Amino acid sequence: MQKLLYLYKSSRAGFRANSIYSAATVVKFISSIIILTVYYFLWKAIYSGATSIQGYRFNELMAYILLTRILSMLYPFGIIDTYSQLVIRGDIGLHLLKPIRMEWTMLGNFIGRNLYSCLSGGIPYIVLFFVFASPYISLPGIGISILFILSAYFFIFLFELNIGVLSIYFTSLWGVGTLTGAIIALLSGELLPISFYPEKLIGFLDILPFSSMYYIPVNVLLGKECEWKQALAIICIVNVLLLVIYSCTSKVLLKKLSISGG
Amino acid sequence: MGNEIITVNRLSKQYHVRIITEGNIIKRIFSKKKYKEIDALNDVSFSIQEGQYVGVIGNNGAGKSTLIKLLTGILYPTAGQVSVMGRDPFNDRIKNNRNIGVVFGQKTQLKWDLSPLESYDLLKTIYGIDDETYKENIKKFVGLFEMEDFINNPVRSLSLGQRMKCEIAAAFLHNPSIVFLDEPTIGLDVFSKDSILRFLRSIKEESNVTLILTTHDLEEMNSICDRLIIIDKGRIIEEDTIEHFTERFTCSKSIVFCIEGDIWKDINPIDNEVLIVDNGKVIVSNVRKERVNEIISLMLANNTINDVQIIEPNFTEMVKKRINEGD
Repeated sequence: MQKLLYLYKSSRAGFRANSIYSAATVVKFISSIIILTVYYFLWKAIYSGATSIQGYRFNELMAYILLTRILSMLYPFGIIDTYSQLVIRGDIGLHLLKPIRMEWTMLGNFIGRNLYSCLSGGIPYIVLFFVFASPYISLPGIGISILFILSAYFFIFLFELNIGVLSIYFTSLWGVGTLTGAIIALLSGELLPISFYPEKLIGFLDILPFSSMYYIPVNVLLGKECEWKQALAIICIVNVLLLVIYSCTSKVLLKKLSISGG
Repeated sequence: MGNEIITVNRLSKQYHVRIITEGNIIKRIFSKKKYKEIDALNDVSFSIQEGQYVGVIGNNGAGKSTLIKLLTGILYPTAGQVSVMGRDPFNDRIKNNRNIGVVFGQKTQLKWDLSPLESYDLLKTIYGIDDETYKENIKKFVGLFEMEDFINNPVRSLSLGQRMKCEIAAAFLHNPSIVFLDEPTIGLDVFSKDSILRFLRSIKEESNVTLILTTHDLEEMNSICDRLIIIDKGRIIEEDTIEHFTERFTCSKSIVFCIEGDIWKDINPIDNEVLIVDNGKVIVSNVRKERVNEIISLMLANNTINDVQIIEPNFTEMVKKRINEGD
């Protein structure tokens, strides 16, 4: 209970800390509108003369792209860099001094930051998503999608945590965060629906948890057929595995932590 | 004073430090990385009683901060054992941290973009502080540190002195049994320093908290600590009560006589004593305690003395002398 209360309070603190910079919020909002305009005209041009591509009509594909943008703002990308910076600056020590695991603090901060990011830069995407997607959305679809989004949130958090903790050994993980982001974008269907990929790659991606981040929840929400039960089982199993691996590696690596200087 | 609250037995900590090789960037990437071992702490043993204020002093890089990090369970020792409140601070870190407070003078535990009060609210939840204790402590600290004017301002807008007051208040917020202050007054003006020292004295009077303080300001340490530990190159070279240490190092004094008229010299310096006669003044230095009366009597009997001053070495000089003496 105390941990949940702390999670709530640190999320609120993370939200407030981000909302203080109001100019940044305005800039983010404006850049969202510009990117959105580019997306719209790009896909309009691709769809000129075609009513459907790979089973997606224009409205469905726009809804897909919009929701993946919203989710990318909601997901906790950046844990790797945050962890690495804590190790480089020695601030990890301040987290270790608290009678609560530092992962709870990170989780709370990221929830607050992601919610703020989603609400500040994501509003135009959310409004347009409902314009394009409203005919396809069903209540069970919403429920299943939320389940996927929550699982994917923890998957990304744990996945990045497992890489971030290696900074205790390597100190700097410069560039690893960007590389991870690029791999995830490719494997998760963030940029394009996975059904646009070659058949062999689709078969491979079916057994990985990445499609549960964007492809599956968005398709479920749009009422498209997909193997969501198998995907949900895979991401849940992977989450448990990542949690176990992190517990072991962090225990070993913390013994090697070195913070020199006053 | 009570039971042993901290026990350190043959504690050592080595750092594995990479040596940056010379040459261009391509060479650096492909050449084999070289490392060296640095003994930050070497075979250190001591114990601290409940309620004691202990000052840890030493030069930069002597191992003071490493010792604090080992006692708080942030770092894992290379060898030796540490027991804090009967627990291993590394393996029982979460449990142990409930009863300790820490301030690192060069880092902040407060949220940079939020006010100190908002950070305190988070600490209240982390440490499970009940409402009554929380309100009482906030009221007390705001009063002692005169924090009313800035407690609601974002931390990033505070001066160093204001921020440090807020940091120290945060460390004491949950009524910890042990507080570690690592150079809490570094870079502060005299008024902020005084305010912090007054606060620490007041806490000492009204609670049984154990305080471990590292500082380069030796007079400040002398004014609030009961004991001192001097670390040099990772080893403890001195461990004593402040009182006994001062007594040991004030055994030699200097006596200055201001004399009216001609000086009639009648002192034969013995041992290491040095006699200087200059411009109406007679200065006898390195005088042993038991010789002071004899010298003053001799001088009074044979001269017309206007003024006599007995000068004792200050605390800073005593510590410098002790560090120079070495292990």
